[in-house]
Amino acid sequence: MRGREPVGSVRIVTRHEFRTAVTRPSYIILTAAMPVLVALAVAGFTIFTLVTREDGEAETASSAESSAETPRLGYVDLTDGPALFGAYREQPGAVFVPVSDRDAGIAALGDEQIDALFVFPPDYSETGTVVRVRIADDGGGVFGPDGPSYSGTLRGFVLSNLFADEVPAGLAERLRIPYTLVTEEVRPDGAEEESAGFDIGRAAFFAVAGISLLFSVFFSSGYVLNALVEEKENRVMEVLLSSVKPDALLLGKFLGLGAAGLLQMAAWLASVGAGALVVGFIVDIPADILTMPGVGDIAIAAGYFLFGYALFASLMAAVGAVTTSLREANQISAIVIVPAFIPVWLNFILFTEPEGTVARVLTFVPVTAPVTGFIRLATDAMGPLETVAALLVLAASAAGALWLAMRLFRAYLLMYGKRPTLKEMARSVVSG
Amino acid sequence: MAALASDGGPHGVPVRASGLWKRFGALDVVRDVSLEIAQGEVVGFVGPNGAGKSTTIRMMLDIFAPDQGTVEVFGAPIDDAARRRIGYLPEERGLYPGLRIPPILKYMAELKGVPTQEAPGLADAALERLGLTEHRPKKVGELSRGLRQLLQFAATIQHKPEFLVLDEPFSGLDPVNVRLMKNTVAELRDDGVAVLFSTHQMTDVEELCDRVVMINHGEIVLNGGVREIRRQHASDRLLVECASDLPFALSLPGVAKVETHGDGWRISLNDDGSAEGVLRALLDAGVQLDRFEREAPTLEEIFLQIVGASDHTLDGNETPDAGARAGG
Repeated sequence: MRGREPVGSVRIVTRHEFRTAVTRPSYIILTAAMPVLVALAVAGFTIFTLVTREDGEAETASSAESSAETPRLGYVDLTDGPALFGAYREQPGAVFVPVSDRDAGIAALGDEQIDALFVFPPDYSETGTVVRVRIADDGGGVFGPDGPSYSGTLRGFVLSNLFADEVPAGLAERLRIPYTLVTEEVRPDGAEEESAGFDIGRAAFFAVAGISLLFSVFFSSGYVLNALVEEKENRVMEVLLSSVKPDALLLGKFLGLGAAGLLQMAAWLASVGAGALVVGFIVDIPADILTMPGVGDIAIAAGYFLFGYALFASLMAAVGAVTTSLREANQISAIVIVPAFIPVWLNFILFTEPEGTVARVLTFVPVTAPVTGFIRLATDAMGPLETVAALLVLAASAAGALWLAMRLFRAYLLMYGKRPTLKEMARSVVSG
Repeated sequence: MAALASDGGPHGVPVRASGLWKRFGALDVVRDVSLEIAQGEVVGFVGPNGAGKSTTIRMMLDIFAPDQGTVEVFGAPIDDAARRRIGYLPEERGLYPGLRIPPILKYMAELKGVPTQEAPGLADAALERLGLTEHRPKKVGELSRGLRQLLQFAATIQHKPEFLVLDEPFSGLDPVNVRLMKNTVAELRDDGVAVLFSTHQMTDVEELCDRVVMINHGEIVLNGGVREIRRQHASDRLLVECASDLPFALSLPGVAKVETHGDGWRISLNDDGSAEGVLRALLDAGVQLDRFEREAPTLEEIFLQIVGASDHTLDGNETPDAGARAGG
């Protein structure tokens, strides 16, 4: 058929491989598994939260209903001169109620109108003595025979009222609540304030991206392996090679199946992100935790995915090229897959010593680099220079693996029934 | 299909392989093979197992690169554009068993440069031509072996190739489908398609091919028209059928031996004898002839004569990995 506008072979193969991959039941199930799991988790969490919230609201309502249950502490001011204790009656956790005299206070205590009674005697200013009047047989409930001491509350009440007219209002507030303790962590050099904060959102992004990459890259590269071996097994390969050059065929497979893997990863990340947003909305997580990852972080994750995928897909293609059956290919592919899980097995070391020697070495070993990189990025242990260097090493390794795969693919793509020896493979790679 | 335009270089030869050599390890699998196929010509490519047929075909299709020699298709070294004008049904063939027929045909057509919107129409036409329309919605895995083979043939011809390579196309087919495929090949030939037809079945070659190329141990040992080759290998024996007895023929000039042969007689000539002389003598003697012909060997007999029947078999597949160690 002459005169037709040729459509790029790579594009055709890419489209075919993508469509074939994404319509496989195994792919659909696997891709949908994460969103379904996330949806179930979010639904469960939502139900749990709503139930517990209703319980909490019920408790709050009950508590509001019996605001009298907020301890009402009666006090009798017998000191001379102007009243000392009128300005700050409401204290954290208690309300102070003025009582006209001791007997009225005892009566109120007996009627449970107040929970405790304090008497400030006339010589309080000189002695500082405050008398707590207690009915001897009240038992004290869970706090023992003396009941709650209210000493802290009493101290705040006394201080704030004693200095009510002596200090500015703000300072009087500090007398009432002297401090709120906040802890900050700094690095040993103490110079970098930013180092004190741990970016939970960024860590979560890299953690989720790392897990997704681990699965997605291996599934995608596994698709390449399966596609190649299946086409050798079902003898489609030779038909294809009469229409398209081997390099274009391999490249089309890489792109199509890589796109399927990327789509899978995107679906997983999107579902996790959406789930996180829903949970954040429900439990009112602080905004700084739910911040979207920056462009740089996304670029790093994409780089690790692309180069990681290219590396493993190339290695898988090389395995597929020299094997003769799917079973044999899957067995041999363990040589590629197993080393990639070393960072997972060593995760304790990587998390506790993300800047240690083991972590740094694994960052630059091609087959362990992607997972190690994500772990270290999640722990904020990789600087920009190290990240770029690691990505460059990974990219170079992927290019080398692709070159190797193409050589082996060209040499053994039509080999049926017999696996070449290592010596034969080496000769094929060298001779091209 | 309209007559094909000729851009096949001199003499309308769209396919020309010259001096092809291919070595795997220490073995020269193909040695100095040259081959031409003209428009509208069906060339039978025959040879024993491991003779180098498939390797030669793969070099002609640019699946393997030759160590020496050149291949020109449509007047130029094979490229993507030329590849789209070729249809190839390999001996080692198969399709995606888990996929339905339309997407497979569409994929194969697109790889041959057929625009996406035209692919379904061409696929349907090919399916109809081979009687496969009713199977269109099925998955390949649901088809019988014979139907799968027909489907693959449909995928091979759907884009209307100008150079068709068929490697053992009839193996595994029932006689009805063999006839269907042969008729289709004949129609394609009549439309001007150049066909290279590799087979072990000499009867198919005699029936379908205009020319035969025989390869043995990587070298071409025979190349010519089917009739011409049979004539070249014709013996000095005559086959005669008639109502009367022929022992008297032994006394005719140029006759060395007379023996019964089936329902007639076989007359062997000596060095001075000729068929014309014997025919004239028989007619002069008043013999009423029902049949008179020079005994010519079949292609199979010629094949066995050339390659040696004791060393080779006519059936089975070429050593599969003979061509597998090539750096394409």
